[in-house]
Amino acid sequence: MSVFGSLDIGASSLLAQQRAMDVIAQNIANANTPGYSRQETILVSKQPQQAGVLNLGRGVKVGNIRRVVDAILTRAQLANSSQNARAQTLQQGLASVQSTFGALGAPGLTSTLDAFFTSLQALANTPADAIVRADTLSKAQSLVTQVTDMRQQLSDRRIAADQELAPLLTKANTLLTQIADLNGRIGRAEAGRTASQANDLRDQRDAKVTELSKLIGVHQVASNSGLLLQTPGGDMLVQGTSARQLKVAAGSSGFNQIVFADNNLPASGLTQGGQIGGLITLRDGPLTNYIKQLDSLAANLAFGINQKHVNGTGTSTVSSYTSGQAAADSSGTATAVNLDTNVPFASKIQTGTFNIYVLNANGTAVNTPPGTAISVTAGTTKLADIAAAINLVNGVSASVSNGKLTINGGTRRIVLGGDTSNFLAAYEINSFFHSGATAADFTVSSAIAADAGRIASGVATPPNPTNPSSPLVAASDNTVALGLLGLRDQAFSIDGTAAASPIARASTLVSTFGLDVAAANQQASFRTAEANALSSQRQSTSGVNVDAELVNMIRFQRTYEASAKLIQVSNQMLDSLLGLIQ
Amino acid sequence: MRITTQQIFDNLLVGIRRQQQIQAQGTEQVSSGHRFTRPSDNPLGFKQSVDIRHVQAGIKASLGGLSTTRLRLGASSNALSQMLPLLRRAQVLAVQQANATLGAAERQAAAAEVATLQGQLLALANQQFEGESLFAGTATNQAAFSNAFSAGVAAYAQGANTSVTSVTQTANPNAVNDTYTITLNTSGTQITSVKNSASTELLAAPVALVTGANTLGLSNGVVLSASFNGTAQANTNGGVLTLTGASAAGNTHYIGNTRDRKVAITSTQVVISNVRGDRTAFTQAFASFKALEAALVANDATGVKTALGKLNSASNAMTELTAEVGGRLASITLRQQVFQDLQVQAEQRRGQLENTDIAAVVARLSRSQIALQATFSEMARIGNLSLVRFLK
Repeated sequence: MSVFGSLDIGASSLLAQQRAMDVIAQNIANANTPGYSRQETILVSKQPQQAGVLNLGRGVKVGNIRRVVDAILTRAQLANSSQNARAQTLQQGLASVQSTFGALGAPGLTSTLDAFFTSLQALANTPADAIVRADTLSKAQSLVTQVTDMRQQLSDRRIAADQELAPLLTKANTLLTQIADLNGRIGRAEAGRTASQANDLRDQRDAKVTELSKLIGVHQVASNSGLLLQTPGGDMLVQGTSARQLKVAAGSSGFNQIVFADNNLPASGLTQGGQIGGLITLRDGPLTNYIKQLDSLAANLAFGINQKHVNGTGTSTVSSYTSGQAAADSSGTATAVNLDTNVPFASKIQTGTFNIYVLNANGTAVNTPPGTAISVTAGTTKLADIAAAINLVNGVSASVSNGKLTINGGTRRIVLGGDTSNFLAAYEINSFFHSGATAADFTVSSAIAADAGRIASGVATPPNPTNPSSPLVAASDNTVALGLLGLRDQAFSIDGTAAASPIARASTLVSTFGLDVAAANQQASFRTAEANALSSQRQSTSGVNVDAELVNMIRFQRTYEASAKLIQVSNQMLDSLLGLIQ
Repeated sequence: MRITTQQIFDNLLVGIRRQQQIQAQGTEQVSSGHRFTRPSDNPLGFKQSVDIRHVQAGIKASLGGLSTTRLRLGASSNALSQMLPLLRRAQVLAVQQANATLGAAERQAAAAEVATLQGQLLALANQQFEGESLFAGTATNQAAFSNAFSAGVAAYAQGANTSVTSVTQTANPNAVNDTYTITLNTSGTQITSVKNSASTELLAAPVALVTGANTLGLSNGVVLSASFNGTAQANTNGGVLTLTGASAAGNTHYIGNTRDRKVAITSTQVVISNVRGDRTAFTQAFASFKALEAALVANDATGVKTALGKLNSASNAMTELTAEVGGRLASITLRQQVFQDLQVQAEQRRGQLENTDIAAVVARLSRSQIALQATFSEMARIGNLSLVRFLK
């Protein structure tokens, strides 16, 4: 070892401290860069030189620039990022339909339903009052508007959630490509270097993966050939430099499903995380559930009310009825009335009868006995058969046109009643409501909408013998109105759902929504708190502490100064040595 | 644990957001006066509130129904109360006119007064409330009583011989209510007999049946029409015809229907809001007035005494009916009180559930405000704590 040895050692130290200062500069520069992991300079002493029996040190070198990360924490953050995005999307999606469900003190589904039944109570108590009838009609229309508006808003939100998928998938596809590209760049940068990593590229890749996890649920799998990403269901997304692309395709439910572009097979488990997972869950979960409950409420309310209403009459003289529902074949000769798929409640029709009363201008019966029973046999009787049977009744005619049954009394008043077959309710003859396959078609019958006097309140009954000329329909009879009111708190079901009163169905729907929102809020709060905790932990491990970096800077600065002094002293020693030679 | 500057600022930011949420929630609760307004604020509380509001809507409607009932029964009670003096005056007249010393002239004058009283009774019995007959059952758009002629209605029960498909009444000038048994000959080609409930033969001669309508003139003035289907059956049992509701001119009779006016108090409970004119009190009242008038016109002192007995019975029946209506009104009043109590309870329960505890919210807001101010202050302080400041 010569004097030059000291110079070499000093020089190596100057170089090493300079590199360390560079790393500190990089750390300070990226102190606020999202996703940046602080780096550490690992200094190692150089391989010693053997001089006789001695091993003499040769100085220092930068052994590695280490990226300080906690792999377990990174995975936890990735999972949290995905779940957090899903929870936030679900929360925001539910919040966006919150106004649909109303608020206390403002008109909502339950209050509108209450108002409707309260108006029916007033109708029952004063059936001859035209103002009360107008109020009942108004309340019924408010109810129908409330139900259909709610369904429309929920349906619109479901469609919007579906439509948001495609642009998000485009972003996800871009990220998948970028991650595969970074995989390649990292591989090339680290090729043949076991000790050193492409720290900044790895940070970039982690950031992209985190960004991707906010869109879809992803599982990160360690691999020798770079990062490997899968869907939560185990489908490969990125392997090495290969990235699979996703796309939307028409699903069986009429909404989009997400498939792989290369084989058109559905990507599994995507609902488990990310914004896309949140949107699919929102679309196929809560929103679909609310719409189903609303459809069920409308169906039960419409058919339940109609079952009672068809058996009565109001204050208006009605001489003609046309069914609100049409048979599949225009002549009504092809299918039994209970098997017609065109009629939503055809399956409710059973073997039974209904009565038809034909009244003179003074309200007395044309026929003796006053009512004529029309038979309906399930599986046999067709719409045309019913028309033929009605045609045999004196004073009334019936026909089927465009699948609709029309009963016409000419100048005579027609009153229907005593329907044990459900035919009148299913075909909406003298019905209160019109309904279709969903709540979207729920309306007040067009006849009643045009004339509140057609709201049935009473029934046709034989007159008092002492006054045979008195009308069959008493002005203040409220038999039907009481029956309608009876549905207010009566548990019933016509669609296979659990029996419940209309108000209980509405209340359950609103409460279900409330619980869903509360759960989504709780989940979002939990995921946010978890994200904050994980972020804090990451900061603790990988974040840059500027003060600490400055301390390190001073340390390296001082070492640099000492090394420079060493070189100066060595130089003086050389000067001294050379002076001896001179 | 290693702490970074970023970490400190992040934690402060989380704290600020939390306190701002508390401020927003508290402000909304104070301004609205409600602990929650939307389903998501408190799902279970919202459901309870909806349920209470449903109950309240029911109570309000119940009180409306009871009020309607009270008004109708009150009007009925008032009309019945006015009938009692008429009956009492008739009783006084009857007592006076039962005196054998009085002559035809006095009784004719009394008869005129009784006729007037009878007219007043009829007017009261046909009284309307809000344009609806009080005592006509549900046939409120017509009078409850009439003193016009009524032929009544016929109901035919077919016998074993079904060739006679229907029998109807075409005339009943004497307003006879009776049951007629119709008999055919053994070959079923003639109606040989029509007997009344006293087994008196009313058909003068057998009527040979022709296809379609066949007229049967009975000795009591009733004319029937029998429909023959043209196929004779060897069976004599032609069926039974029942005539009801026939009433002669001048006899006041009930023409309302036999259905009560039910008022819905809840969706399952109803109360009767009317008094029907076919109650005995009305029948007896009109019959006793008629009997008294007839006896006075006939100058029949014994008949007047008989009518007095009927008037006493009618008066008692009317008093009982008036008392019954009064009792029903009292019952309605009690039910109104019950529902009013329920209304107060429901309102209190809803208030406890929904209303904001202003003091608690304001205290929470104050605590949050202090925390927020401290956080802001801390943020400013932390900003000054940096090594950079000492390395100048």
